[in-house]
Amino acid sequence: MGRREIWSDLQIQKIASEYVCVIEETFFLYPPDWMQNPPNPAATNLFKSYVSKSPPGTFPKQTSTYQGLYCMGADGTYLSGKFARQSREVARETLTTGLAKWKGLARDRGDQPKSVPTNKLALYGGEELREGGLKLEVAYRDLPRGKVQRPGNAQFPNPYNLGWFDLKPAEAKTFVTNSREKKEIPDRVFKKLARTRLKDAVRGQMGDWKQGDLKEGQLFTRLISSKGSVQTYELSGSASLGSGDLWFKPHFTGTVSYDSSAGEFTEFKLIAAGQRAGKGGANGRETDLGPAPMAIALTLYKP
Amino acid sequence: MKKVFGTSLLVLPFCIAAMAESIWVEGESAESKSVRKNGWYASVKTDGLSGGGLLSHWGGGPGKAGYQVSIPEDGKYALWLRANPVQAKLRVRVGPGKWLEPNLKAASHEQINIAGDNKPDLRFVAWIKAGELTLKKGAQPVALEFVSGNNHHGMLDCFCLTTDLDWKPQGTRKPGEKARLWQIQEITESNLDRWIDFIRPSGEELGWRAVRWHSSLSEAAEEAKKLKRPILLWAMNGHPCGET
Repeated sequence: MGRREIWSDLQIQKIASEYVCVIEETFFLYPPDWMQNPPNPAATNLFKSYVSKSPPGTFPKQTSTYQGLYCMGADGTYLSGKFARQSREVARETLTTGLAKWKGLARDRGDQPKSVPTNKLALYGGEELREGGLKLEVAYRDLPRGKVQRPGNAQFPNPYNLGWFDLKPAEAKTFVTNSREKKEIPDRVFKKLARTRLKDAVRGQMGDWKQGDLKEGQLFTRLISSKGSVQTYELSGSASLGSGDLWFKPHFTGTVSYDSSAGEFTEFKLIAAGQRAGKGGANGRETDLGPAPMAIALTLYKP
Repeated sequence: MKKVFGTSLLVLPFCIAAMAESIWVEGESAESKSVRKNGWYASVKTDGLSGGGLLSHWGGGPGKAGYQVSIPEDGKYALWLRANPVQAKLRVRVGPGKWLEPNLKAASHEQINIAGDNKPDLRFVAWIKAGELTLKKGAQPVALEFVSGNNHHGMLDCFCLTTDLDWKPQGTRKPGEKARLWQIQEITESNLDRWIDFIRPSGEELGWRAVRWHSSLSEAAEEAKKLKRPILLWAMNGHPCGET
């Protein structure tokens, strides 16, 4: 969640361009003991090597998480590092310190470093892009509360979050219809959307809804226009999800465009907006239990 | 519902739904106290706290605070404390009864980090049910002591006595207090794009994407080896590309 305040800093971006940069899920980099087969053993071993070489105090004792900013050599050599979320100033200092240390080591070794390429790498979560499928970017945000356009507090100023939603070609095609009357999206697709994405992740992670938490709901599609090979559909519907004090009751508004000659979606815009209440997982709602309005926007990922 | 929050140090009760009685007291409003303020420990965010402040202690001896409450009727009351549960120990007594020493870690819920710099250290508060007490109507003293092993540290945001034994605290909402319902502005096909823009992160919020990120540490290490460059790893719980 500290991405905006740290990485929007141009100076930090400039220092970062001296590094080969990587973002990773820390859970798999330093998995708990019970996880015998982490998904990427090479990455896990490298990070554990870095942790073992880091000076005392870099990580809290008996920590269950290793999130933070870490500067290292390709072999796991410790250059600098800061555990947990840090301010922009601390991040800048961490990167600067690590770079200075690396320059010293490179000089001693007589390395001739090459420039880091500037090409953009694919940056998304979820599954690989699939022809005919849908890869949607999910954005979570609180809606205005009276005159307050961007609700938040000192810990979460103007919070937002991102996620991904992938539909296989057969699932994606369920949005396409010749009918100008509302047609229901099949349960299997709707439930996948509702249980995994229609949750309160504005301030942080929340697990998927469990079976039975989707109390009711439907998502409809209907053809509203056709121009050449491109058809546009209107999406509508509502849902009610909840478990105890935790609930979300969104209404759906959206449009989808599909190019039948190319066999691909050219636009996807869906908003699920409604009242939410309660807290779940690590979503940081302890002091904002609601009810309060929240929205989730799903839009087509365009590389 | 009737609420009385006077300036008197004798805290009076308020009635809630179903005729339950509740008394809500701010930790910082102690009638008497012997606490020591530590700059780091007292550096906390106050916007999530009840009343905008708390009672904080960090010192060589136990921190002590005393309050006066007015018990509205004879009966059984649940005592809830919003206090620091992290490596902490406290004891509390209402009236002439026995001291209660709740297991702060085991009995707590809604734990939040209130550290001013967001560091995950000792500076947390959580709701803790200290116990259920049979109390007599009338003025009663409430005594609290911070007796933690580490510098007797302790924080008390507020405490609540309520005859609603089923009540479970939620944030700073008092028993029987209803949340305001904010209306949602209409979202239609004609204003869909505007709302999409509102919900989606702005260009500045997506500034982190200007950095050339790999999404695998092992891939980054291979490139770093070839280029003889250092690695900058941003590791988070939850992939930073997604829900974090």
